[in-house]
Amino acid sequence: MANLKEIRIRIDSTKNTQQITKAMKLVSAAKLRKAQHNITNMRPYAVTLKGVIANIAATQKVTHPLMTKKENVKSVLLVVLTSDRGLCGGFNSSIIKFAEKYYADHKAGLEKIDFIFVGKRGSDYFARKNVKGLESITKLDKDISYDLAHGVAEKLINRFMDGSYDEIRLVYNEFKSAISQKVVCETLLPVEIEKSSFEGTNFSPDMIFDPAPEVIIEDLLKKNFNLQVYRAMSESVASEHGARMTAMENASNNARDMINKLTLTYNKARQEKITTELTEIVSGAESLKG
Amino acid sequence: MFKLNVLTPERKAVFDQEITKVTVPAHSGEMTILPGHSPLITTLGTGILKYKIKGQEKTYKAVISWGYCEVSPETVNVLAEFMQTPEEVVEETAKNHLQNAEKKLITEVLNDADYVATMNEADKARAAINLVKH
Repeated sequence: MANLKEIRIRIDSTKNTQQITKAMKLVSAAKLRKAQHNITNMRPYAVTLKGVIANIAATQKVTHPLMTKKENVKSVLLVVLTSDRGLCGGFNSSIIKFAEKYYADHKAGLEKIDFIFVGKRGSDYFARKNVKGLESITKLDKDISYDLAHGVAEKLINRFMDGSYDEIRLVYNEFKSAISQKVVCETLLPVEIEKSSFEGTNFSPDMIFDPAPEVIIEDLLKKNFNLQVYRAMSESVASEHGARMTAMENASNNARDMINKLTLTYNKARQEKITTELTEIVSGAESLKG
Repeated sequence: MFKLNVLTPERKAVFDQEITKVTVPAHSGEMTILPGHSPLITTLGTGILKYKIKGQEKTYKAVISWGYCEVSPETVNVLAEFMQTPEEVVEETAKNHLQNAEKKLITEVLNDADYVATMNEADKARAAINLVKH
């Protein structure tokens, strides 16, 4: 039987852990709120931008290399979004698993698949597996800003425009709610514009363009792409905090259960000790009487 | 009814604000838009956005950088990547940015993308300094 002191030490250390996980949960909750705020703030901008691109594309009949789909895709660049820190449940492992599976499934059909890793977790994991990414972007510890996303997007667009890749895909955790995230794989480039969104707008056909529509649309497409990267990053951050919040909640609950169990064992052991002592005293007294 | 919306990826800066006049740093120079303007789409450079709210004398100003502007007779939609109001500008920081950018332009050999980015950085800082001066 474990002795009383040992049990008490275990209870204390579990209590400490519980305090930490509780604090982490609160921090994640605050950060999650901020990240969600980011996503909602961006929405009007994204909707307007996408709408105007669709409008110009439809009314002016312009096309652009960024919008044209390649007939047979030979090379793919996979951008894998993970987090810098762990302790967030299955957040990173599900992304990594997806990326590995994608690689295994498509290796045969494509000439090359390259990776860009965003976040320390992903790049570390693949470095251990000897898969070298073209680039690793880490130090996401601060909040994701539009500038950071802009930098990443610029690099991607250059790689696409010089023809090294036919498709750029992004793997990240989509933010469904605080407790559920979904791994999604999106084609970032070429951009797909649905002409259907043209309906129901008051887009005048005799619109004045300055500069020419072809130039404007290139600019807008690039900005839209930046925005897509920013959105995906924000979603990923929100998911990370959501996942961590859930993981920490579970950890706190487990710690509570464990403390209850240990307290019960502790009380039992204490009671047993008292009973033994009592029996000893009583039997001692009995023997003296005799 | 003549309304202005200014949106950036990080916030909704001006929304459904009734105005009498707005000036934007358009592709081919500064452009003032009055109510009833014919439909127009233009890209915006780095510069100062000015607008007058209906019924107020004060001209509101802000630095904006890259954006596009869609004008219809009743509304002006401005989408900008970056926006800073006079209250947010710290003159010291802006001056430092300008100095760094200018130094970089003179001393370093830059590729096209970096050159454009640095120029933009310098323009932004210049506009911010102008904004707080006047």
